[in-house]
Formats: sequence, structure tokens, C-alpha cells
Amino acid sequence: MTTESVEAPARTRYVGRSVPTRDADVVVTGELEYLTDMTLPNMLHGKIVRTNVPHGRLLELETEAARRVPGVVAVLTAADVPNNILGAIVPDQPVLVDGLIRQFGDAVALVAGTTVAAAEAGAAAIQMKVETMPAVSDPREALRASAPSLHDGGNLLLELTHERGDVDQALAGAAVVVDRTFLTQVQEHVCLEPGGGVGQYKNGQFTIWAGTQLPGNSQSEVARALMIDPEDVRIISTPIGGSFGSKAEGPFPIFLALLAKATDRPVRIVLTREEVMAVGVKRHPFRVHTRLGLDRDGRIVGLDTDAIVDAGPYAGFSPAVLSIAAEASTGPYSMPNARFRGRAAYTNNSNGGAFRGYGVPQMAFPLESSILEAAERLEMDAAEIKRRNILHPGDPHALYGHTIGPSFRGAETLDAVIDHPWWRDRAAWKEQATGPWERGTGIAAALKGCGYGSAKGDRAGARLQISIDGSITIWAGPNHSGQFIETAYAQVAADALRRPYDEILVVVGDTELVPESGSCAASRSLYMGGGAVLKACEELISRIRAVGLADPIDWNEAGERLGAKGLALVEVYHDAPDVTELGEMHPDDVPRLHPHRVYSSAVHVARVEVNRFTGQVEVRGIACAVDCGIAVNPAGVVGQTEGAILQGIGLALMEDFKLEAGVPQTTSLETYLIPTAGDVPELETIIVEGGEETGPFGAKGIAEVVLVPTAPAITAAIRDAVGVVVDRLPATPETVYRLMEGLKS
Amino acid sequence: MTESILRLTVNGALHTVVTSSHRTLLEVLRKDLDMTGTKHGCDLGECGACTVLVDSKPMLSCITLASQVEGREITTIEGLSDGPFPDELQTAFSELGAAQCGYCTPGMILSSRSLLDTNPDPTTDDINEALAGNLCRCTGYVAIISAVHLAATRTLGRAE
Repeated sequence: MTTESVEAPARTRYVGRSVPTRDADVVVTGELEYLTDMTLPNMLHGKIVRTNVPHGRLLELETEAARRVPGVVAVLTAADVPNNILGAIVPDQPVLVDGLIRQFGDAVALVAGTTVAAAEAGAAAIQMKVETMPAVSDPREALRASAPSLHDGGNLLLELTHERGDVDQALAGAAVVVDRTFLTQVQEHVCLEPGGGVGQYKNGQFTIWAGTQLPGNSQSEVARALMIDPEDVRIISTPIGGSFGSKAEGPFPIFLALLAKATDRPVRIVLTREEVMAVGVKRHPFRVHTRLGLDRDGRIVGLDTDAIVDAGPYAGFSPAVLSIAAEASTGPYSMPNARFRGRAAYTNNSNGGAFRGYGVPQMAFPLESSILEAAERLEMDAAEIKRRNILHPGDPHALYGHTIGPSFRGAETLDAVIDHPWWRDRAAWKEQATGPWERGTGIAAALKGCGYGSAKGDRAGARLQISIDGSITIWAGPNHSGQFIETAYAQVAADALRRPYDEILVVVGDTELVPESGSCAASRSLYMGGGAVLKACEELISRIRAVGLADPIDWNEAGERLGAKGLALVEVYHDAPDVTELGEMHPDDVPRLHPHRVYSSAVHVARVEVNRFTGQVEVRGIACAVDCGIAVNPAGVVGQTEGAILQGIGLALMEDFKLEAGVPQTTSLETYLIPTAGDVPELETIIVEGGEETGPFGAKGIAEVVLVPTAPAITAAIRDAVGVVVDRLPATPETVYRLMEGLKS
Repeated sequence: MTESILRLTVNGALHTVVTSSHRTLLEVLRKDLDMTGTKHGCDLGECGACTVLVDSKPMLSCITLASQVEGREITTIEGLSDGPFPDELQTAFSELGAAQCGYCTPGMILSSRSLLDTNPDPTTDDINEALAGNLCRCTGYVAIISAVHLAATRTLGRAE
């Protein structure tokens, strides 16, 4: 085991400072123009016509009446899509339904009109004849041979299995084995901006202003569907009002391109909240059967995880979510034996997609809950068990066996929370309960990889230009949806170039200007994009040296000399490091399992009060320690952490997107509840610094991992308060009440 | 649908709009007056992104007909600053990172403005209550609550 210390970064002027976000001044005045605020001259308005059954066959689509509605300019159906396919990993989705309906709200037609009202009237005039089929709504039933197949080849989208050591033998010899099944729910992102954008077709070129977290992928999907050259598609993806994974995929940019081409006019579509609720991608619900074995000393000897994932009607990013979940199934822990089996099943339910954490929260809840139960049976402290099993740099990953990279600070992050007064004083907190409110404290830990993982070709580009007056412009990064990204890039560049921060202009989110940067996802915007920015700056400095300038650099002179030599434009690509020390991992498994070299970690302590008569849970405090490498912008780290914790509280206690036989029941924010200002407990963020050698100035990505421990820390605190094992999320008052009633009988 | 002439006082200026009577204040602000600082989040009165002030009280412009507020003082985010000088709340939100994606921010700031106008020294509970109808999905609200406290403190400090 290595515990080498990583040197503190060189002294920095901007990195490490809580510089306010760059666009804050125009956000607070309402001047920032979001993509759905845009208006272009002669613009039309689009409306998407959707199905109202989750499973069926589209027999007839009558559009003539719609075309005669005054103000309707175009009506498009599947026949108008040159190449009617969609899907980033598995192309299993039509852009517009041409036969089988697989989801409530599947798009069947597009209408463009001179006004929103005209487009809506046109959409309402479209007649559909649909043969309704029974919905496949239980993923376990979907996997039975008797279930109707939603796609050729059946409903098993992907099965991923892996074993290290001998789990069955280890569990047979364990002092305790916790054997339990856990359920997690469907979670909706609830971005405040419902989504939308504008498409334009001019001189053979498409420009699509659409909030997308993977502009490069949107570009290639538009090109594929319209059978055109990707070079003819420009995606401008920023600024947008929230994403959290929801804007990573889908047909929306293609809709805009189709309508703009058909009408030869700009077209705007703004989605309604009901549309987003019904058809927007969601966090996958998981059913996880866990068997966790420990020896008498509290060491984990084996873990067996069997997960069934409801992928919904289309693959989307489900295969990637399943592989990230597998890697996280063993949490931030070391153990000699582990097995994972995961199956993602097609159903007619909500479409599972990317959502902050990407399958990891669904793994942490069962594992952390099982560790707590094992601790009780061993009459040991749960935190002490975590400490005995926590991964250290250089350890083999528990499931795959590859080596955990040197910047992992799981042990220090755990200790930061173990030393926190809320954990230390948990007995006093419990004793001071009053009235019907029982009190409890819980602790939970998590790890998550930064970037896509090995053998995924994770790469981010950056372009940098020095003008003849010496000013610097940097184009980098996939998009901006609130995460300080231009600000952090400018901080990195200012320190790399040793120039004032205000002199660096940063542009993100435009496929015409920004070299391919991958996605705003996978905790990689700063880690990867910032790495590319740093590399571009280093290249500029080396060119400046090459033209004979020494420190202190005369930037005007540098701009002139480089401009004269045609060296003023730098374009670089930064590649994520793949695992190099495979340890026990077989090289053939790397492309299948995509293990990470770089992990971040987070540990939470939660204190709650639980009403013993009603089951209501009030979270009173959450402290989160986060292993972020170096905090480029500490306020940004805290802001990401606080936002994630509130989403985690929603996941733990209230958010529950419900469907019945594939039909959404929680159709608006009136029935789908998310935390409000009144739900905010006392929050504290503890930054545990280390330093990742492959990240800009040592930074790692953290925006996902900080959400992961929230739910299991809260359910652990509920158990401490009232003694129930919460085995499903969310822990609504009704769920907790029923569990308490179960204890009595 | 019958069209009528509406006279709306927005941010101190009188606007004359010819529009049908069923249109919401949100639509008229964003489309007819081209003031897109007021955000469209749900059209159902559930998220608070479209909050404006009508006679200094917060109202959800997506469920308010434009014709209902004729003759009343409407304040949108565009009208909150005093010329080049931002409102204390705008400054505090900017400084404390109380805006991430920023889409809820105009509504948050206007609800907060109304609170501080009637309660210059609010407690955290007062702030939570005043902002209960304004959803934010990015910040976790902590920085927003701190920004309202900061703006209140600065305003009180100046008054003393």
C-alpha cells in the first residue's frame, strides 16, 4: 500500500480562489439570453405531436387536416426523416415513430406554424390510429421469455458480469452475511428551464441552438438522421437553465434541423413542463440484491451484487450507466472477493438516462445500508468498519483488481467526517430528542471515477488564440449550465500564463469554435476540459520561448511575433489517462469494463429527526467531506456540493416519478416534489485536498460524487433514530411509518 | 378572439399592447415587450421562475392575465437596478455564487426584493417562507439565503 504524499501545487494567484462566476452580473440582471429566449427574424414555432399510449402500433397518421390549419407551415412525419434512427450507443430509437410505439409521449410528428397557437392547433388536428398493446412495465417480467419484445433480440439490453476471487466460498465462511434486496425510484432532473431551442438552415448549413451536454454527439446524430456531413451542422449548446444529465441525449436537435430544412425558416421549439416530465430521461430505477459478508474483525470478505436496471424503451446511455454502476458496486472499499451481475431491461416505462451520479447512487444505497446492518450484527461501529475497509491509493479495486490511483483520498475524507462533531456527538444528539421527534445520525461514503474510464477515448480539445495586441481567447468545453466552468477555465489559464484573470476570454459550447471536447458529464468538465486549457497555455508559452521571448513576457510583442509567424492559434487535445497498472485485471476486460484511474470520493454525516407517529423525516444537518484534488474555485466546489445534497435529499425522502402500466402519474411539479428553501438543513462542506497529477493544477471532478452518499447517510440516520431498515427510496412518511409498524408486529 | 388595447406600466414605463384578452402577463412580457428576463419554467404556477412584482408584491406571471394588472406597477428583473447601479440583492447574489444556471435567479431576486421591502431584517425562516414558491435545482438554496441576508445587512448598514 502506498501513501505517498502529493506535493501542494505551485503558488497560484487565481486557482484556489473563490472567484465569482463570470456571467453572474448578466444573470442577476436578467440580461443573459438562454437558448429558449432566442428569437430570429421570420422565425416559426414548432410543436411535437406525441402518443398517449406507452405501447402500441401506429397504424395510421392523418395529417391533412393539420396542414389546412391557418398558420401551419409544415407537418413532418417519419416519412420525412431521411434516416430515421437515433441513439448514441445503440441506435435503437426512431427520430419519429414509424411503427412501434414504445413510450408514452413518443414523438410521431412535428408541426411548424407562424405562431405557437397555430402550431398547437395543427398538432391538435393530427389524427392517430393506434393499436394499443399491453405495457411491459416490470423489468423482471420484461426479461422473461414470455414477455413481448420491445426490440429485435428481446428485452435484455445488456448483461454485465464480473467476479474477482471466489465470492460464494467467501460468503460461506463469513461471520455475518447481510442478504437484502433494495429498490430505488425514478428521479426526474427538474431543470428550471424546460428545454428547447432554435434551428436554422441557411446556405446549406444548419445552426442548432439547443441545450445539449454533448454537442459533438448532437452534431453527429443530426448529420446521421438527415444524411448530411457533420461539418454542415453547428451546435451552439450554451447557456442553458440546468442539465444534470437530462440534456445529454435525445432527438431534440434533429427535430429543429428537420423543421428548419423543411420550412427554410428558423424554427423554435420550447418544451412544456408536461412534456419534459413525461418523456425526458430519468434516473434509472434499480432493484439490487446484495449479499455482503464480513469476518469477526469487521473486514469485508465478499460482496455479491445482482442488479436489475429498468432502462425504459430505448438504450440511450443505459449500457454506460450499468458499467459505471458495476465499478461502483464495491464502493470505496477494499475486499478480496466481489461479484457483480447487472442486467438492463427494456420496458415501456420512463426512459432511463444520465443523471448526476450515473448509476452510482443506486449502488451506494444498498452497499452502505448493508454495511450498517453488518456493523449492528457484529456490535461494531459502522464508521470503524468503513475505516477498516477503506481503499487506499495503490490498492486493487475490489471488483476489477486494477490499481487505485495515487490521488485517491478516501481514508482522509472518511476521517474528516469521523472527526466531525456531528458524528462524534451522535449519542448526545440522540439523547436530546424531544416530543414525537426521535433523533439519529448516519454516515455514508462513496467513490466515483472522473471522466469516461479507460479505453473510452476520453479526450477534450482546446483552442487558444493570442491576438497581435496580446489578448487571449480560449475556446474549450462542451457547455455551461451553471457549474462555474468558464470561470474555472479562466482561473487555470490565468495562472498557467501568469496573466490577470480578466484578460482571458473563454468561450464554451459551440461546435464551430470549440474543438471536440466530449460531454459536460462524468465529472470531467473541469478535470478534462481544464486539462486541455492548461495544455493549450503550456503550448503557447513554449511557442513564445521559441520566438525568443523570456520572462517577464511582453504580451504585445509575443502576439506580434507569433502572429507574424502564423503561430498565434494553438489547438491541443488532452487525453484522459487510462489505467496503466492493471493489477489482477485481465487486459481483455479493460474495453468491456472501462475502469478508471482517477477517483474522487465523498463522505457524509447526516443528522435527522423522525416523527415516531407519522414517519416524517426532517434532515437537520449534513456535512460532506469531498476529495477534490485541488479546489480550483472553492465556492464552486461548495456550490456543487450544496446543490447535490439537496438533490440527494430529494432522492432520499420525496422525489418519486410514478408510472402506472407505463403511463406517467406525476405529470407536473404539483405532484413531483423537490426540495424547497424550507427543506434546507444546516450544511457544511469540508474540502479534502490531495492533488491529481493528470488534472489541471491537481483538480479532480466532484459534482457527481457529492450526491452519492446523501441518501444512504439519511437512511442510516433514520435507522439510528427509529430502528427501521429503509430498503427502498424514497423514505416518505408513509414508507417509514409502515416500516415502524412492521417493527411492532 | 377579441383583441383589446392594454396599457401596462412596466418598470416605470407605460407600454401599450394590442393583444387578446386571454394572454398571460408572462407571454406579453416575453413576446410583445421582448423582456426575456422573466423566465418560463412551467406555465402552471409551480416553479416561481416567472415571478414579477405587481405593486411590490410577488406574482406568478404565467398564471396572471396581462389584463388583470392594467394600471398597476409591474416590476421585472430588468427594472430592478437603478440605472447602472444594481440592487443590493443583485450584487449579493452575484458575489456569493447564489446563481448557478441562473434560470431561477430573476424570480428569486424579485421574491426576495418584496420580502426586504416589507421586512428589512428577515430571519432565515422568513426568507425560507418568502422563497418557498421559488424552486432552484442547482444551488441547494444555501447561497441564495446567505445572499438575501447579506443584502439586508448592507441595506440596514447604509440606513444607519
